[in-house]
Amino acid sequence: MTSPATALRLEGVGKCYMVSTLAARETFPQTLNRLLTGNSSRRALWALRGLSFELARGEVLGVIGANGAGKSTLLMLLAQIIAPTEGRVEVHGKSSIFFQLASGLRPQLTVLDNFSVCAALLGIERAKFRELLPAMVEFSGLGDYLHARYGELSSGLAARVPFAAAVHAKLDIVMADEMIAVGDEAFQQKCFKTFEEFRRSGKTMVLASHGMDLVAKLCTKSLYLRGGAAAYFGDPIEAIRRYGADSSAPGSALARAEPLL
Amino acid sequence: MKPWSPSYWFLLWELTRTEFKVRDQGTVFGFLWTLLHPALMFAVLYALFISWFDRFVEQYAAYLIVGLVQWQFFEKATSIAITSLRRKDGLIRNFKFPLELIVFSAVGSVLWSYLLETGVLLGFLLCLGLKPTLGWPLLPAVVLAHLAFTLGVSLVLALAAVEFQDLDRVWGVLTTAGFYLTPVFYPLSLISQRYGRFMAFNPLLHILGAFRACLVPGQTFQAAGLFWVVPLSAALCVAGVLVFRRRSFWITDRVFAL
Repeated sequence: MTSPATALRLEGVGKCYMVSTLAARETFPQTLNRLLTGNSSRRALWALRGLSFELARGEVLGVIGANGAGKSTLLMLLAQIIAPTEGRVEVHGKSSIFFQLASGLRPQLTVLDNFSVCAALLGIERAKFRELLPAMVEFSGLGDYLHARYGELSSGLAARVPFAAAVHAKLDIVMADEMIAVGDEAFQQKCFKTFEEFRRSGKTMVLASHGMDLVAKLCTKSLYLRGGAAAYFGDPIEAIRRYGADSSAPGSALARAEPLL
Repeated sequence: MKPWSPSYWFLLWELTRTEFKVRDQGTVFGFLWTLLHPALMFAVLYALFISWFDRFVEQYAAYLIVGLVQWQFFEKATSIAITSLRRKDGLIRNFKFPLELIVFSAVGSVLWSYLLETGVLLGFLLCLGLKPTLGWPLLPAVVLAHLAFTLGVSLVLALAAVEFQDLDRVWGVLTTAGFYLTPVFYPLSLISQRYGRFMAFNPLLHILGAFRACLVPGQTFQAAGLFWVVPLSAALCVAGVLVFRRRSFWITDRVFAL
């Protein structure tokens, strides 16, 4: 049974993607073949498997792990954008993801246009949007760029638009995927303060991050994902320690890529 | 987000508005292309066929322009809708919202310019010396039927296209064929009875017929066709929206796999 204090609950969750093994896109005969016989040139890739944990309201979960460990898949499952292939995901409250890049927004249109699209996508009503707009603009610091083309902004500035909109969207569960990595020092500070305020106001948060500082300072729990499975769930400092140990171990991808100091 | 909530309509409005705004950006004439394209098409077809079809159709100019505007709405809306889910994969990845709105907004952005074209069309008909008839007030109902049919087809095509990626190329060929198999620029009376019977299965033939009956003098109304076209359109819309609602996770998985 789920207690009312539970915000998120995962039971044996797995997500499987079909990944191309051929260099080319699937052709019409291959599609037909797949639909008729079930044979496919694609192979199954489990981005996540056998993941179970529960998060109480007001907790802040830091999700860490190497690239491809399943962090973004987990966030999309929690935001209910995708469904698990197996297992159960329970989400109690309104949630949405803030992604690192403002993908999906319109580079050809103005910053103001993108603010309103973003707000609408987050489920904000028109009247409410009008009311919130000054605060969103103020938060983003993009007041001078409102009528500039969105695509002309630098990626750091661009990421502020969905972030500022989401901050004002009255979400119960806040999820961020490497959101503040692209921001400059000042904006990162602002984000950090916002997250702290969220935490104080009792919002549940899930932050996927490579910023170990952020995880250590902000999170009450941490999930260390390795190869699509939970390698550790619990104390953030311990999670970071294990992740660090694995990364610097001889033969690990990270150790091969860049020798640690 | 429920269809009766204001936030659903605000999102539909925003997606439609931005889709429309982006469309003609970067072209010299910009928004004017909305009107320029049908006008140029009309000029070409009129110049080609006036001497031939003038004998068979009263007011050929009116007959042609009415057919052309209606046909182009169907063709543009469906061809934009068919790739809409794939083009919006960024939105689908980042936000949780009713996916049918992507198709609605694709069709809606074309509807916007279509309504404008229809307004200009009525002005053009007055310039041709046609008087407003009793058929004019019926026009909104016919527009609604046309919209329902186009939307229904668009929903089905968009769904099919996430499974069969080649479909948008095939659809390009099919609409070209459809342009010749539908009496857009030629009169139906020119077709022999044997082939005419098969053509009666074309829903657009009846929709175009209804528009012409409202607007072009000398065109009679064959209501019988609309008796199956309208319920078919409604059924396609309902079925399409139901699939979008019930199978949204399947759609997301397919879009991600593209």
